[in-house]
Amino acid sequence: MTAGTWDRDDDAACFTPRFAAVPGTGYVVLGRPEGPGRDWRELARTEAPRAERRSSTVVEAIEPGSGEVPANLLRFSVTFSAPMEEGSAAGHVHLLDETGHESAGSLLEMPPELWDRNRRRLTVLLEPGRIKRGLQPHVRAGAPIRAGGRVTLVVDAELRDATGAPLSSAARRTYRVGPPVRSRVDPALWEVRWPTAAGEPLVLRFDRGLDSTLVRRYLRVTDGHGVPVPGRAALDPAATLWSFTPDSGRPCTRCTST
Amino acid sequence: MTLTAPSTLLSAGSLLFAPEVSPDGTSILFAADVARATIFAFELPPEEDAAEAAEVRVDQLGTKVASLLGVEREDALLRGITVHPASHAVYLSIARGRGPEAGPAIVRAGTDGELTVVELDDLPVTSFALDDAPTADDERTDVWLDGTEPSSTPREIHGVTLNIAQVPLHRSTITDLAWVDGTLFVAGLSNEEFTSRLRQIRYPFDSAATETSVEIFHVDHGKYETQSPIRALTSFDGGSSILATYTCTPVVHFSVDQLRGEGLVRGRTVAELGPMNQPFSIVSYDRDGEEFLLVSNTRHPLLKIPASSIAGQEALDKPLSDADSSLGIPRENLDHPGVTWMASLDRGRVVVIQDDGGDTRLRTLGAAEL
Repeated sequence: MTAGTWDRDDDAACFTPRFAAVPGTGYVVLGRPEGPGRDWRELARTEAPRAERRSSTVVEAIEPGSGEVPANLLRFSVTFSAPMEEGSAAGHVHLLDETGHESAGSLLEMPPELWDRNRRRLTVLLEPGRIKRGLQPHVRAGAPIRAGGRVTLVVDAELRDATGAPLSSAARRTYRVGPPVRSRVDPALWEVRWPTAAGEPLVLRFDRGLDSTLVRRYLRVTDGHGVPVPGRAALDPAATLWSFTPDSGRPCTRCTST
Repeated sequence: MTLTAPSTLLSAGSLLFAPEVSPDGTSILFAADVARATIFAFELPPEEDAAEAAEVRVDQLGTKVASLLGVEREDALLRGITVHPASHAVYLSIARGRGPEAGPAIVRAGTDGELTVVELDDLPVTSFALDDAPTADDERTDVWLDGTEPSSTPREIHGVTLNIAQVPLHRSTITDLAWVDGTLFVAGLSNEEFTSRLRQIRYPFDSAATETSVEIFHVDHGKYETQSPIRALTSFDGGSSILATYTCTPVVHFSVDQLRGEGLVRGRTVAELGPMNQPFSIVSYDRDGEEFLLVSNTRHPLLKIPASSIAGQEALDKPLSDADSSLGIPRENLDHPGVTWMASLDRGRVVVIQDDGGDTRLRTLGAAEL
């Protein structure tokens, strides 16, 4: 028996299910006359209509957002406009070389699919064994992307959102591949522009494009007592320029990366 | 952190009743919500005391629960089970739908066999948000063998077909709950380098939790491990000890005194129950004045372990490949095929979910049958 409530008037009865009807699920309405020992019999049979799967979800961003990536890039991330269905990404994200051919084995195989908690951002890893020098996959097959060339990350329209609908269109982004960057990230090399008046932003110019997800997660601004300063942070698409505007014009005195 | 705002669980997970009913008859139902990395404690109104012999028995449980929730049978997945301490009603945590988007529902099965949806949002509630949960973009993963994830892929390993799903770490933030003397034990994975965690949270909730990273020796894998979570745990030996079981399938003793939230605590592996298997539940019960433990499994039979054998078992620390390796304390296969989730009704009875010809049934097994 399905949980829900009945409302009756003289000649009609209305059933409101406790949980939303799942599209495509069949329901049977049973009834029996009043009085003891009467049998149930089927009065009606219905199916919750299958939802029309309209394609409205799109790829909002493919990151890095820069035009060039280093040859030892570790990952891409793809942000969607709505929560996605976990399990639908395998086989639908591709890395193409300059000739438009898929470079086999360059992306780490899915599953596992690396979704964020809201299932709106998918992290796509390049095969780590081929990036790290000295490991057998790197020795045998070389780096997954090579300096001097171009690569294109393609997201098929077949990826499904949380309602089961495919994307409204495929998305792609092409990158020039620059030389590998092997030096550590060194905040001492960042250019810092401190605000000179209330309301002005603190601006950091990195010495290279950083991983935008990590920038958003690990850059904090604290005051002289180490207390986080509330405010709004912004990052340019190439992830080279980060600015932070404190709320209500509070001056910030220290910037911390953790 | 505690709050008294409306609850609205976001995901279905482990369930546990506090064993004591308060003097006004209210009882506390703990529900783990992995999506929020939070434990909710719902105050349930008094339920009538059951007659001593009253037990819940439901045939075609899977079909009835799915019908109640208005979904097909494969879209109502059991995630937790517990027994009301006064009424003996069985409370089931159900994921309605599949995968991470599945919504939660708590279903009550009474001793009259009737199933009802428990309306949580009107109940008084407090909650405790874990501060050590893995973030959603943590790239580490956990492996589930229970076949309930849509991304599960059948793989044949040494002639055995396993349904393997690799899930993001945060889906295993909370794997099981246990209760010892006013403290809730919460097993699962954390955001630490040594991810496996056993947390202790006093109830009523205050702001404090004792969070201990735990390490075990895995005989079948031949190494010490800190990444794999406890899948099921129970207190035993009068509440002084915890017995925990893991995938592939070590059984490990922790003394409650060891768990102080400091450093990496090594449990004492006392049994290796065998590979390619994930335990569902572990419960303690008494038979003829002696304490036993039961472990239910995805692939192995229902296994019975005498509690008296645990104290004298030296820590297993040799890989299976060693000539003098040991599988530890004795265990007995019980002839109750298809038992999955279990919960204690009292010291002498265990409520079980059992596969039944493509459906499931709910039964109560007495000590004499175990």
